[in-house]
Amino acid sequence: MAIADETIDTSPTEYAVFEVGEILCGVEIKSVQEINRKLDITRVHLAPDPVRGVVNLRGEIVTVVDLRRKFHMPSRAFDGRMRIIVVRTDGEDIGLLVDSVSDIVPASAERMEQPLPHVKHAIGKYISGIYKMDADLVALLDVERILERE
Amino acid sequence: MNYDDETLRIFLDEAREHLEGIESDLLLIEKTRENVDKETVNKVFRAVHSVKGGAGFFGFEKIKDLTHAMESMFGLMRKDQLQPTSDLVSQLLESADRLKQMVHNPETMDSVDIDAQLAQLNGILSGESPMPSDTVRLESLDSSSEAVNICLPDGETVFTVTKAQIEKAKQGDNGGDFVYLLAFDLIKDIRDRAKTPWDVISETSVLTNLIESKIDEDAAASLEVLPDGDHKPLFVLVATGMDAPMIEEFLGLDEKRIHPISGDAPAGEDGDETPQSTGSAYSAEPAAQPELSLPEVKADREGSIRVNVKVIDQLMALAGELVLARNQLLQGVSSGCMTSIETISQRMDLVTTDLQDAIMATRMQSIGMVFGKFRRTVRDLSRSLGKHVNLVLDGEEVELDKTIIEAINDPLIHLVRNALDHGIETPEERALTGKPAAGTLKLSALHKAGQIVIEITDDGAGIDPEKVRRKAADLGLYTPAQLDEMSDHSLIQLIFRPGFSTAAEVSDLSGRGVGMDVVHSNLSRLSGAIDVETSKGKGTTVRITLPLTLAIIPALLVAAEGEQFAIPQHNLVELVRLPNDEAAKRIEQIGDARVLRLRGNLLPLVDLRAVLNKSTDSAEPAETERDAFYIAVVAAGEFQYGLIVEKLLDSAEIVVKPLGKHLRECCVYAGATILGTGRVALILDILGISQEIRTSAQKAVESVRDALGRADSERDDDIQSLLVVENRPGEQLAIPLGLVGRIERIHCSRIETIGGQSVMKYRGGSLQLLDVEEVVPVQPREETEYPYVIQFRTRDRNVGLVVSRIVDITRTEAELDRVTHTQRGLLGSLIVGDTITLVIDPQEIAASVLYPADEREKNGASERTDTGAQEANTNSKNILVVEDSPFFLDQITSLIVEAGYCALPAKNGIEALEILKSHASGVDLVLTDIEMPELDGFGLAEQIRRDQRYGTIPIIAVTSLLDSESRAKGKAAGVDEYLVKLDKEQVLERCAHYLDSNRPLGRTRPVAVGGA
Repeated sequence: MAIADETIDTSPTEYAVFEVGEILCGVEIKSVQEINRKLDITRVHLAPDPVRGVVNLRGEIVTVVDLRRKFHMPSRAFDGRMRIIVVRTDGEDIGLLVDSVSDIVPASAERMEQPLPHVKHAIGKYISGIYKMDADLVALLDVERILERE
Repeated sequence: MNYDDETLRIFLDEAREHLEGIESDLLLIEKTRENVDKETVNKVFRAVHSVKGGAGFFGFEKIKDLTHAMESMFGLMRKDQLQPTSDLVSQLLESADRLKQMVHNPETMDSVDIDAQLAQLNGILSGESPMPSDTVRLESLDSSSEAVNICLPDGETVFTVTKAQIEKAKQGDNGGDFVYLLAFDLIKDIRDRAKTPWDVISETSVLTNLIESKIDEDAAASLEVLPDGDHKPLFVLVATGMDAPMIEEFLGLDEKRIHPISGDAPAGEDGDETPQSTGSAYSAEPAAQPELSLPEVKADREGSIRVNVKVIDQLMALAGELVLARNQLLQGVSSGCMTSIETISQRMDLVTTDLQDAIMATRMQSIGMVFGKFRRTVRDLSRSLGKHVNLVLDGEEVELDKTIIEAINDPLIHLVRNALDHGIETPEERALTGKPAAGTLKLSALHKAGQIVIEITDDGAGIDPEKVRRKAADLGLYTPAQLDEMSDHSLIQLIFRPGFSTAAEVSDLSGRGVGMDVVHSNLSRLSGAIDVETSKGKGTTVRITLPLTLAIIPALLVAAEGEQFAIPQHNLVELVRLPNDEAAKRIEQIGDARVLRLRGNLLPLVDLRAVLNKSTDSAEPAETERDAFYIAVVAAGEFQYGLIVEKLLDSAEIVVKPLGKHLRECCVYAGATILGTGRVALILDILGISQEIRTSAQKAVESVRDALGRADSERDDDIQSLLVVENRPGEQLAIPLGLVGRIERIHCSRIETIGGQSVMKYRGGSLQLLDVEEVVPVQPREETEYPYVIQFRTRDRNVGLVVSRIVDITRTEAELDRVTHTQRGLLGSLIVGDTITLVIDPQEIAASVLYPADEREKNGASERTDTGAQEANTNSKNILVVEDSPFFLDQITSLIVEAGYCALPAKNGIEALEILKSHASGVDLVLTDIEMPELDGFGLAEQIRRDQRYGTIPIIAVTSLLDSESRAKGKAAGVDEYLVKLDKEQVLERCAHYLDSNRPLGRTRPVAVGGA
C-alpha cells in the first residue's frame, strides 16, 4: 500500500475516533456537533432497521442511528461507554450510536490511504479512507452516505 | 429617498387589502346591476382612489395610471352614466388583477403590461368603446380630459392634471369647491411630529378629496434646510369643502403652505394648457424614483400580520407578569422556601397558559379571507363552463391559525373546481332533472369540539358509486368480490386514492393531474381529515375537519410496549375500560379480528401493540396478564375504531415536533413531543393507522354482524348502565348513564351560594348546582373536599347535580322496581351489588327546583288524570315510541300512557316500520330515539317521510344528541322536533302540541296534558 503522494495540504484534518464492534472508525470533527452520553432513547416501532430511536436534544427531536445495525452487527444493550455522536447533514441533526469514543486525532495527509476496494464487510461502502495510527488502522467514514435513506 | 421601507410596506399592505375588497365589491355590483347600491360603488371608488393616492406618492406610475382609469369608470357609475355590465365588470376585474400582480410583486412591477387594460378602459371612457356591445354610455364627456398645470406662486409647476380630475374631486367624497395645493414640510410637519408621509396622506384623504400627491425630489435632494424651513416639501393637491383657515386648523399646516387654486383657471401663473395627452406629464417624474429598496419588501411579503392592539397590550401585560413571577421564583429558590415556590409555580402555570392563548390569538385569522376569494373563482369558472352557480358563504368569521389558513387554500380551490366542473350540471341538464337552472355551491365553516369543520356542498349530480366501483376494478385496487362487499360510503372514499379520477376525460379545470389524493395528503399534513357524502342526482358534500392550530395541541398520553404515546385530543372520541370478565362478554373475536359492542354498535378494535409490531397476531400471551382492557375510541374522519392500549396515563398539552427524515415514512406517527421528564414520546397518527387497518376492520365488523345474527346482537339491549354515587355512606344512589352529560371533580370552594342558590363558575359562565335532597327525601350530602358535579341538560340550560362520591359505573341487567319507591325525583330502585339503590331522575329534580310553577300545575293535573285518563282512553291517540334501551322505552311508554295516550313500543327503526305498516292509519305521532341499532332515528324518519301512507305523521326525536349538526341532519331526514331525553314536561307538551293541531275540532283532549 502506497502512502498517498498528494501532501500539499499540510493542515491536518481532525477526526473523532470511536469504536463500533471491533472496528475503529473516524468521522471528520467539523461535521460533529457534539458527543453526548445521554442515552434516554425512545424506541420507534416500524422505523427503518438502523434507527435505534429518538432522543430529545435541547428541545429538538433527533433520530439516533445505531451504527452496529447499520454495519449489520448485532445490536447491544446500553452501557456506560456508549455515546451518541451528533452530526449535522442537510440541516438536520442526527445521532450516531457508537460503542465508545476513544479520541480526537489530527490526521496528517501522509498517513491517509485510499479505502481497500475489496472490503467484504457491510462497512465497506461507507469508508472514504483509511488512516494509519501508530498501532491501529482507522476506517474514515463518509457521514453523508451513512445517513442516506436506504 | 425620504420615505422609508416601512412606509412603503404599509402602502403595499393597505393596497393589497383594498384590492381584496374591490374584487368582492365588484362582484356584488355585477350581481345587483341596475339597482346597484351607490354605497358599494362609492366604497370601490374610495378604495381605488386611495391606492391611486399612495401610488402617486411613491411614483408607481403604472398603478397610478390604471387606478386613475378605473376611478373614472366608477365616477361615471356613481353618476349613473355608465351601467355595470358583466363585460365591464370583467374589464375592471382584470384591471384589479393587474394591480394585484403589481402590489404583490413590487419588484417586477415595471414589467407588468397594462396597456391593454388602459386602452380598454379609456376606450369606454372616451365613448368609442371597442368593447362591450351592451355597455351603455349615457353621456359623453366634454373637454374635461384637457390638462392643466398646477403651479406654485413662484410659477413652478408641481402637478399636471386634467380638468375632469379636478371636477370629479370637487364632487367626490369630502370634496368641495375649494382646490388647494398643500405643501407639507417633511421635517417640520412630518418627522418632528413623529408621523410618516403616509400618515399625512391618509389624514388628508379623510378630510379632503385627494387628487394628487408627490414629494419634490429636487427640493429634497438639493437644498439644505433654509431658515424658513420651506423645503423638502410633500405636495398634495386636494379638493375640499373646507376653507383655508379650517385646513390650517385640521391639518396643522401653516397658512403659507396652503395655496388655493382658484376656479377653472389654475392658480399662480396660468398653466399652459397641454391638450389631450396627460401621459407625458405623468411619466416625466417617476424616473427619479427607481432606487426603492424593494428586495426587503419582497422578503417581507408573507412575513407580516396585522394584530389587534388589544392583543399586543395583553401580551405586554402578560410578559410583565411573567417577569414578576420569574423574580419571585428566583427569590424563592435562593431562600429555599418550598411553599412559596409552589405558589409561584402555580402562578407561572397560569401566566404561561394565558400567554400561550394570547400569542395564539395573534396568529388567528378569519377563514373569510380564503372564502372571499372564491366569489371570483366561482364567477369566472361558472362563466367559462357555461353554468349558473350561486355561491353561498357561511361562517366566514370562524378563525384559524394563519399557517392552516394558508395551507387550506389550495385544497379548497381544488374542491371548489371539482364541484363546479363535475358536480353542478349545465342549466340544460338541470332542467331535465327538474332542478333550478342555477346550482348552489355552499362553503361553510363552523367550530365543533375544538376543531373547525369546513363543508363544500353542491346540489349537483353527485358521485355515482357504480362508476367508482368500476373504476376501482379497472385499476385493480380491489377484487370485484371485495368491491361488492363495500358500502357505498366506503366506495366513495376511494376517490382519495392516488390516481383515482372518475372524470371521463381530463378537463382543463379540475383534472389536470392533481387529484383528490393530493387534497387528501395536503390535509393529512395539517392533521385534518376529509370525508365525502354524496347522493346521486342530489349533490355532494365534502367535509374537512381541521385542528385550530398545529403548534400546541391537547393530547392523551397512553402506554404500550414500554413507551408512552400521545393521541391528539381531536381524534379522541371516548375512553372505555372493560374489566376482563366484561370484556369477555362484549368483545367478539372472529379469526384475528376483534369487535367491541358499544351501545348497540359494533366497533372494530385494534391492539396498539399489533399496530406497532405490524402483526395481526393478537393471541399473545401477555393478553391474559392484564386486569382490564383500556380502549381509546378514536375517529379518523367518519371512521371510528377502538385502540387497545396497555394503560391510559394523563392528558397534557403537547408541543408538536417534526420527526427526522429517516422516520418520515412511518405513517403511524404524526410527529413527536417532549414529555415533562425530558423524554421523547411519539404522537400517533390516527388517520395513518386507520388507513392501515380500515379495510380489514370493516370486514371484521361485517363478519361479526353476520355471525351473531340479530337475536344475539340484541343481547346487549337489556343491560342498563348506571352511574352509582353516594352522599352518605350506606345510602347508594344511581343515575342512568344516558342522562349524564359530563362528570367533573371540583374543589368544594368552587361551590358558591348566591341568592340562596348554589352555583359554580364554569367555562366563562355560571352553572346552577342542585342537591339530590332538595327534592328526594334522602340524607343530605356529606361535605367532602372534592365533590363531583354531574352535569346534564334540561330544557334550556345545563345544570349540575352535586354528589359526594362516585362509587362506580356499573352495568346491570336487574329490572327497575317502579313500585316501591315512587317519590318525586325517583325513577325507582334496583339492586346494585347487593345494595338497594335508588335510581334518581335528574330531569325531574331539576324541574322541581327550576320550574316549580310547572310542577305544581302538573301535580294538580295528574290528580285529575286518573279520572280523565279513563275517558281519554276511549278516543286516545296512538304514539309510536321507538327506543332501543328498554329502560328509556319503559320510561317514555309509561309517561305517555299516564298522560292518556296509547303507546306502541318499538325497539328499533325496523320494528317501528313494521308497526307502522300494520297500523298504517292508526299512528298519530312518532317519538323516536336517534341512536339505535339496525335502523337509527334519521333512517327511520327518512323511511317514514318517503312513504305516502304515513308521510305526514309528526316525528319527534328524543335524544341526547343535541348538537346543531345532528339537528340539521334530523331536519333533513324529516324530524319535526328535537327534545332532550327525559324532559318529561317538554315531551308531553310537544306531543300535545302536535296531536292537538292534528286533532279534528270538537274532541276533548286528555286533561293531563295541561295548558297548551
